[in-house]
Amino acid sequence: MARVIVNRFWQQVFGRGIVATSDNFGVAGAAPSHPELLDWLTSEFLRGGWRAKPIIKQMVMSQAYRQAAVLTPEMETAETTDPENALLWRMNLRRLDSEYVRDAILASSGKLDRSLFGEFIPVDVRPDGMVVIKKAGLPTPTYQWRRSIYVLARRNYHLTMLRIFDQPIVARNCTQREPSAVVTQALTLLHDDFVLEQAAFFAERLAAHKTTTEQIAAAYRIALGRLPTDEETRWCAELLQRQAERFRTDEKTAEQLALAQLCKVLFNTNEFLYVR
Amino acid sequence: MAQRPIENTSRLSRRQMLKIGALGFGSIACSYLDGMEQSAAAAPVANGLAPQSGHFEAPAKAVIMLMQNGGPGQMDLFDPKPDLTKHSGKVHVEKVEMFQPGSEGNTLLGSPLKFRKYGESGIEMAEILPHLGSVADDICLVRSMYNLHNNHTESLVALNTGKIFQGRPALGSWVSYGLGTENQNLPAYVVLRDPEGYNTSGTLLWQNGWMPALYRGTEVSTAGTPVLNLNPSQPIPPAVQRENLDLLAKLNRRHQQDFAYESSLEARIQNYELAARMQLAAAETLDLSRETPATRKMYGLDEPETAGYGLRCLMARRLVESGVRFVQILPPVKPNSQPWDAHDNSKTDNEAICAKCDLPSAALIKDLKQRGLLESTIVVWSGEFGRLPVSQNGKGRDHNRNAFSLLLAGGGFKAGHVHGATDDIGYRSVVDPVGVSDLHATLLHQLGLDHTRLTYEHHGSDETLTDARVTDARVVSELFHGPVRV
Repeated sequence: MARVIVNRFWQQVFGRGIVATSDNFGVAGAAPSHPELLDWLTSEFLRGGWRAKPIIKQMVMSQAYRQAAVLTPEMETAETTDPENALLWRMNLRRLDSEYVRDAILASSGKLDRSLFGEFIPVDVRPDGMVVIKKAGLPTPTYQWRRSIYVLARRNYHLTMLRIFDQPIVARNCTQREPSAVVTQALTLLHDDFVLEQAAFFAERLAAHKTTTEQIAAAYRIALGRLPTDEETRWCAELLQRQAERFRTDEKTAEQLALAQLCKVLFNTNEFLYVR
Repeated sequence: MAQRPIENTSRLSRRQMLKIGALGFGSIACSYLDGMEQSAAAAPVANGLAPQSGHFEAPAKAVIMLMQNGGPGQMDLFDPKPDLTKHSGKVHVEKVEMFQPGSEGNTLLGSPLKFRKYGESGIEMAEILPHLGSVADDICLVRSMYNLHNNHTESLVALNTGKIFQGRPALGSWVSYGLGTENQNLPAYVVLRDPEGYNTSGTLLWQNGWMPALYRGTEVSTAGTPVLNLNPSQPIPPAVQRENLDLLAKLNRRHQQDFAYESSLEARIQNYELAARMQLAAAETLDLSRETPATRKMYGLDEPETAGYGLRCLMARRLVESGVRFVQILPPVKPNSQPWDAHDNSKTDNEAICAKCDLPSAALIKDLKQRGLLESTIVVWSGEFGRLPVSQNGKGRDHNRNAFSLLLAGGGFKAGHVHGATDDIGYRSVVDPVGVSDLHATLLHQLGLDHTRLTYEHHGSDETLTDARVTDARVVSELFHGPVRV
């Protein structure tokens, strides 16, 4: 059992367990990629009195965890020998889980309410089937923007934003999430009211920076955790300029509207959805 | 291991392949949006919804499932019981399985509705079903169905997923998984519900369970935006959208260069192109302007009573015509989210819902037939269970899992045929009984899928829709009109 638990932690941290079939340690399951490592981590776990945090800390402090997911030309041999990366010669590229997708959007827009504990965030089923956050009667104005872990997951009606990104259904136990890439995800990130609203807030946040270049740099730093390349800055600046022209009819807000479009584009990038 | 044949076009694992693909997409002949930068990186991506041939040749390619929530009363609609009428008012000798209060008297209730013979086949059905009666010679009436549970949700979940427990993939998910779909710009598995709300058990009836999300039923609305978020609530100028997508494609292609091994990145990039194609395809499929006044009339679109359900039936035909694999239609939600649940009055409750569903259901069968689509399309008309032969609070009837009737049409099923029988009072299916798992095995068979070989690996075991080792599910080949494959 301790091995099973440690393997689940590993799966959470690396995207795949040392035993890839984390729900099946039997003869029909996959063989461990690093059996000695699993044994050692398990003995550490037992020695520490079954405490989760120290063992997870051990994992994230490791050199294996600190690797990048980028594939470089030097890795050609490894890529040929172990294309599935079973031996962890690089990090796995991991898509954010549904809750993190929503939280990352809120963190970027600056609206994330990080307060702890308290009542769940209620949801509402709209007649068209969309499940949204019920805004009426919330204790505070920012309650709707709390972390997704506080959103009520009813047996059948999950927040659409979360379900679309593969939040598991409550009726069945889920030992391993399967991130899908379905078109409704693209449609949601392009058109959903929540995303558009948060993109506008993100743009407001960026307005504190004076020049377009500074705004783009700040947007990249906040949303993607790095600075843009010169080429990317140029592409983004071109978009801002063209979009501002298109919104010019409304003199005061043209730049702001354009910036919100760029923010939305960044939410839609693969880079935003994946941990490298 | 899973048996579904899939061409492995790259070094993707099967699991990876199932995760990608959108509502599916045509990967090679992608037409880019105007001005979108072409890229050499755009390699074909394998797709969990690519059209697949089944395990063997079969007549049907598509399914339209007309859910009749609530439990239509077999002895009032499809299964005449003269003995029940004769003994009406008497206390029945066998204590029937009661679900709700009100039937404690165990008093037999003859049907207040009249029956008549329809068509050349002379199938007897209620007079309040004149339209389904008019297609009697095209339908296969199964009078010996039974289900597993007396509560709506469990029984509905069983009818749709094979077990009373929630969380398993629906029949439509299994069919989409087994056969993929013909039109990559539309969902494989479409659900058409009343735009005014959900029926009992709501989205539980089209869950993907432990299958990937692309096998979940997609709700397509006949009012407003057809698919959630297909369009933004505030319009975005087309030029703005196009420039956004141009930039997005450039940023994503650049990002992809560092992670050539990750196929889902390509899938995601292509999804933005599919989103645009889907907007067009959905608009086209849902545009009824090219339907003739005669067609509109046939489906009852001009009458308020039938307009809602009729529109869903017509939409189902259009979707199947466009290559959609599985369409599930739900009945009206007003005044009751389970309109066949005739607890109060077997006569008036049934009259009310028949007035809404009879004509459109029959129109769909006629229309499919006149367009040559009926042989390749299975139409299933079914509730989750039947009703008791004894009265509930005088004029109504309580739930009965032990017997119900369903209609099949097209898809290689016998036409003008009655299968099986209930006992003298319609309480229990006794001659050639058919359980829900038998039904599933039979439907899959007519689509070319062997229910024991269509497996999906979950938690280390090969799951099937029918779980035949436990349920003894069998293909009811007596229902097939053609030569039977053994």
